[in-house]
Amino acid sequence: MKYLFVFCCLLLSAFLQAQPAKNNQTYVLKVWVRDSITHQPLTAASVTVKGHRHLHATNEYGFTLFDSIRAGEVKVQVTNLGYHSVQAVVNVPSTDQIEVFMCPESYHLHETVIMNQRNVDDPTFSTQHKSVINAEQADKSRGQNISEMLTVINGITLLNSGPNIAKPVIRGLHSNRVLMLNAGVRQEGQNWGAEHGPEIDPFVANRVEVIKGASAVEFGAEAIGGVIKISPRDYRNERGMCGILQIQGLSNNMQGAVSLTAEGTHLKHNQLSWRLQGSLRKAGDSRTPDYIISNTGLSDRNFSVATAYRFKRVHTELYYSKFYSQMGIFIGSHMGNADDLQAALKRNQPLVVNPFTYNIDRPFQQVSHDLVSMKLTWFATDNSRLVFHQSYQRNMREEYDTDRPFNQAIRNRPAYDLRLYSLNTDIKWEHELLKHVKGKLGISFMQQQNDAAGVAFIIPDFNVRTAGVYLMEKWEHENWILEAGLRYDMRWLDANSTRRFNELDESRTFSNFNGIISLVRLLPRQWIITATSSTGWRAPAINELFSNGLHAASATYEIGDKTLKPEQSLMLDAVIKKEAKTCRIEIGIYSHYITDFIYQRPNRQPTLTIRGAFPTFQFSQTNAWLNGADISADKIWFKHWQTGMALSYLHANDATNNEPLIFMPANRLRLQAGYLLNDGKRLTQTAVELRGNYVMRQFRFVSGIDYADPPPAYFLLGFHVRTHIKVSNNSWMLSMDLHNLFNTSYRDYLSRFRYFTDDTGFNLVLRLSVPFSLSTPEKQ
Amino acid sequence: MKKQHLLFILATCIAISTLFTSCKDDHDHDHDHDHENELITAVRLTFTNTANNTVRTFKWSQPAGPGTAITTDTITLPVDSTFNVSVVLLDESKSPAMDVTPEIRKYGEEHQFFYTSGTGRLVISNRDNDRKNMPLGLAFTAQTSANGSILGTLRCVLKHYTSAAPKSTDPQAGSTDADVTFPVKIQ
Repeated sequence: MKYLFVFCCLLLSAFLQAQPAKNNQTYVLKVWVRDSITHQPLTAASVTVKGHRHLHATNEYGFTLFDSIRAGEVKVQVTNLGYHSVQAVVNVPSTDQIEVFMCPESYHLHETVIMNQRNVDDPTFSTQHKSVINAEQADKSRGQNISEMLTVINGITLLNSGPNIAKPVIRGLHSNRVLMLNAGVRQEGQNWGAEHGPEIDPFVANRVEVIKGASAVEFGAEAIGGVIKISPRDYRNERGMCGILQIQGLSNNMQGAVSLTAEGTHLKHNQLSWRLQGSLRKAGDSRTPDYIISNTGLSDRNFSVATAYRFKRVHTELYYSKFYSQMGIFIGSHMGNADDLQAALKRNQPLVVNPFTYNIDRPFQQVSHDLVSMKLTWFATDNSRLVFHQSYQRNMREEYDTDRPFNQAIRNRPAYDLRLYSLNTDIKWEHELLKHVKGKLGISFMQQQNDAAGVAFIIPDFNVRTAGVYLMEKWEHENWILEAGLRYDMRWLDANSTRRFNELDESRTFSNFNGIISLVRLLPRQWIITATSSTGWRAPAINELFSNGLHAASATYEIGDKTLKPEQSLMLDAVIKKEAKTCRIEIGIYSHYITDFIYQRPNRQPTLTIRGAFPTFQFSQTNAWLNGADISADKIWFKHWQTGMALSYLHANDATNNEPLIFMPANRLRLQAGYLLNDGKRLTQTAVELRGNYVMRQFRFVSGIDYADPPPAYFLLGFHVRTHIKVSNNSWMLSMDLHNLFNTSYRDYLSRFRYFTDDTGFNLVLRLSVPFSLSTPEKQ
Repeated sequence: MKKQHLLFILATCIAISTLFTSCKDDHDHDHDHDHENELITAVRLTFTNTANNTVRTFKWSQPAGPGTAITTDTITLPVDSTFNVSVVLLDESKSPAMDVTPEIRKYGEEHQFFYTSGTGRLVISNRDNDRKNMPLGLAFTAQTSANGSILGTLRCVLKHYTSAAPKSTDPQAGSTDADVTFPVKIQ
């Protein structure tokens, strides 16, 4: 009884502390900070309010929040490195949100706009928790492909097929369960294949947002594992022309890459903006500490052009991009039959190790992806707009095997020749219903056609049509944000094939609802809690339904099941986060239950063919339960020292059979420590960093299913140094990375070639970014 | 000045886009994409007795494609004889059946047959060579010894090589195009 009383007292006192003193009415002030030229949100800008004790720093959306501000005139000061500082006086509570545009020091001080707005349009609408890679981080981590860059985010790992091909894995889910948006358009490629990397130029990505979890309401069914939103640079708003040249060199595979971006703004009222971007990349064979991974060269050519025209209340945008890549596939990974595979597994190193070369021989992939998009935005009122977005994509994928047909006529033809044409239409109405309620109503359509040729059968030809309608509303009041959304989708699939032994003609229709509820609580001292519950569903992919044949890379025989049902997912996700100038903490926990999870179940009987016997996998369904946590923290000590950690934990179970799910990323821990130097006359933002990555062994597996048990744990040490050099009016960025410093031999569990070869060894990466002005901005 | 800007941009756009679109797209047709595929369904061995020129053929076949029924002849040979053997690979799912052996001979440097006898009473030797004097194995010699009847096997493996993974006498090198096993009866 006594204890109960003490407990009640404690509870009461905690409650009293949490309540703001009633007799001192206080208010909330929200501040957004952006670059006045690029309109990009500015991260870690310092915001102070006179009379308020704490210095606040903006988060990745350029946002910070002051609670407990007394009524009356309030002086706000915003400072940020490399920008003219801004002071403003606002009247609380008649103004409760301000947007501050800061002018870079490299420009003359022009209008520093401070807008007092009740409804500032958020950079991203959904309140669901997002992880962000901003432009600076993107520059720091641009590597061999787009996926590699994403691993900066805790909870994202890679599914590799050799050093060139990587797919992002979000909390254990990948391929068709992860949706990628490139420049606002759903990336439509042959995404079902584990060895089909995303067809996006890493140099295009200027900002990446990742939602780790089901977020299908806004982006459409299939996004049950997460959404990766890749955005190019914002249009230049300032008159004149400028550009940036980026150069990259990698020692491991002797890779060279160069990207050039130029942009400008013209006409009387700066209505016309444009941006041109192109990149070239050439790489030779990668190497492990002990040998060369033969035939892993790469050759890329990418190009994009974007224009925007603003006329009164209508904005139009046109975007075109081209991705073209030729990727060598490790010669030792193509298996003729199960005996070849068994022999390869027994070797410590591949049978064929050739001298280093830039040449790409069979097997290889050749992919080209075109995207044309047109976006019309009509700002109907200050608080609402109508967006019409139309896009067309053409994805051409050719895969060449080591085996050539004997028939002369088709001898040089690819094994698989897949052409996917997609037409997407999205219309959305962003509106404000009531004072505190904002929302989005949208419809989207897609038409897709796949033409499958080549000398081997992998998937049939198909036509897909989808239609979806969704509504999301967000209620925002003081320190609370509540969001709810609902979506309905339909998907019609017609598949047919006239191939010998694979004749089929099937039609399937799928449809379902999904929804989301998300609650955000803004707490004192920049703590934010986000809790989300979301559902999603995913129709079975074309290969899961109809594939039937040999998979050369894994020496397996894969059989689809045309009776598969859609997957249903329910995810609970909670994130508590603190974002301050010198301290950043993020703790995310999740529980994800997927009903009818589609996976490959091994058949007891191998398939007998003229090439020998093949282990056979049949697509089937079970219930999967994924639980995990992503925890990260960074802190700056005494202005100069910086430490950070990131821990990612995942427990993935087949709930029906109560056994571990196969091919789930191992738990991992990243530690880093760095030192930030004082800015000199010419060198600024100079920093050195030591990074350690520890990846545990995946100890949760069912033995006997996989060809080889998961590889042992490994630890990789990396070193990073970067600086900005002042050259006339511009600041050049120079950075150097040393990956796998000790040249450790290791194999990752999610590397699909781990049966045959080690992963890559030591790698020195040099990056240089040179911004330039083609014409100086005129004073306004 | 402004017009010059615009012209400059337009010209660059057009120039670069044509450059990039023309450097790929060697597909001459977009939709008549033929669906030709190839499948080897049968391995036929022809044994010619060197003593009396009698000919016997034996076939391994899976006419309906991977995973379907297989029929295999038993190689039945008299004791104490020598045979010249030739091998033929066929696609019998087509009519008429397509013989791919000439292509294997033409690209001999990319192929090699290996023969493994499961019994000491059947000895394989003298595989023929390709143009670079590496063994090819489209023809070989088989020899049976005396001492009554016995059951055994004969495994025929066709390996495939590329310039990156060149031909070698190591039976593990290359990737496997065919791997079939015949039962053998020597009587």
